[in-house]
Amino acid sequence: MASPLRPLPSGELSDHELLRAMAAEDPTAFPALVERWRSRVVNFLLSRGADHASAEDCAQETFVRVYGYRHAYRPEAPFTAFLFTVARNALLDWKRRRARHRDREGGEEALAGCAAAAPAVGPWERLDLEAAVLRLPRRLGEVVELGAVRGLPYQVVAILLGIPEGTVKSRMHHAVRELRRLLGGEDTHA
Amino acid sequence: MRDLSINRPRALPPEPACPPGADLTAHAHGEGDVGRRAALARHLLSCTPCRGRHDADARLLLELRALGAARSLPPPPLLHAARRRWPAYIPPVAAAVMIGLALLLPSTREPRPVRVTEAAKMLRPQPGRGAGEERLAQLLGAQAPDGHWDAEDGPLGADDACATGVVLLALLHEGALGAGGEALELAVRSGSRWLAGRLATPDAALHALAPAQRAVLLAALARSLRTNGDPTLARPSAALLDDLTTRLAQGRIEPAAMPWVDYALAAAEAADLRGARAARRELLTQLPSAMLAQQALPPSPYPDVTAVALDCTPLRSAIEVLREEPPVRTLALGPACRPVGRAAAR
Repeated sequence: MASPLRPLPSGELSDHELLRAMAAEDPTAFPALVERWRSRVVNFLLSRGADHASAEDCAQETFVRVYGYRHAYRPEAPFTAFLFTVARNALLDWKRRRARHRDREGGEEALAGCAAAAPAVGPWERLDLEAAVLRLPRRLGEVVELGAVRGLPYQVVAILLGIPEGTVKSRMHHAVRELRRLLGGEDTHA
Repeated sequence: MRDLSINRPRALPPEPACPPGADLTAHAHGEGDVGRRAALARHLLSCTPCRGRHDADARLLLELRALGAARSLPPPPLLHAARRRWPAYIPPVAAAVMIGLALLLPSTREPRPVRVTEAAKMLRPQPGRGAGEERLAQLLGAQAPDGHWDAEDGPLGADDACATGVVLLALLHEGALGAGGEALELAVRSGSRWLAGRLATPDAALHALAPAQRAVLLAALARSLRTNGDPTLARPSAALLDDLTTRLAQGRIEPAAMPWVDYALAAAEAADLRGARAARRELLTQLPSAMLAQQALPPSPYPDVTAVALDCTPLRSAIEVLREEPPVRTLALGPACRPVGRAAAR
């Protein structure tokens, strides 16, 4: 069923068809879906009270979830309802997380501060990967978060971050080296 | 005169240069087309330094993925094409009836079982269905009318609670089984309530469960609680969490069971159970780094799960669904098994 909000030009796949193609691991489907809906999802999140940076982050999270749901999705309702429900849930989760961090731990800055305050990385801290990931530069951290932690393919990470796939590959390599250094392991990579 | 040069051994091609580090990381991440992966795999067989780097990357990526598995996606939103509109007077009347019933019922009631015979009927085997849906059909078809899944008197022993826990985890695993809709919700709800009811009984067999088995039950109840918000699951989940937390504080959890306990605590944390986060922190300080460094295989919470898993039982299907989850990932399952049609379901 085509989205009622957007008449499709001839030859263009409907949203449901794109989801079906994603479920069949068609590599062209996800970029098309992101390109079609990204700006509208960001606008929707902005209208729900998110600032611009948070709206971008939540839009990214929305598409990560849509990608994760590609096998479970069934076209029983308009795609727009599905997409904006996922976006709303992503925003609510983000707000909840932010409130929890403020209440309990003093915000993400405190988390990053805790990680930065660790003087030397001993054997016990080797397990604290989460802290190490937080210490990565943002450009490496977001690749690790999407590619390694969330398990998305490089191609999908590239689409979500708007960078070439080769850049994802090299950033992942640098991130792994950096993580190993932060965790106190020897880095033998050239 | 015959040319015998064809029988002469050909010179081996020169050893290819070592690939860039980014290629090794990508290979460890599962990236690359088939040809490139095969070429890299051949190189790794013959080059010890590259193999060492590759394996180190693979271990780190595995640990990172385990972080992600602990905070997996919430279940997809359930949307219905058409909603029934009720007359305006129905909601207040219904609310009054519910309040009246709540006042009349005793406060310490046992969780009521939900009948599931309709659930299995709603998802009948169909030709051409995907593997995920076949597994879902098999799991739903094998559910007993009171909501549990049978351990089948195999190596799992007579304890149906563990088998029910594993199947519930599979049904709650996002994206793995496709959209089961109402049938899936019903099966999860009834299975969770059966498990909660079972835990409320003074059963000696349950008290003898090992920590890893308790962890399976906690993970199942916590995930179910998070998904459907059934308040009857809160108390047994909290009791299991308390039990594991106490054992953890007393150092009574063997290292091999820790991945399962970590998995359960992550689920409890996601369900906002009080104390789960602190318990998980405590566990991480106890978890021997050698286990992660060596990528040790956590044993199954069941002694002979591999033998069970060789058959196309519902438990095997559930484990197939869960095989990307950290504690399950390393279980050897033997040849692929796909239940086919009605014959697969009991």
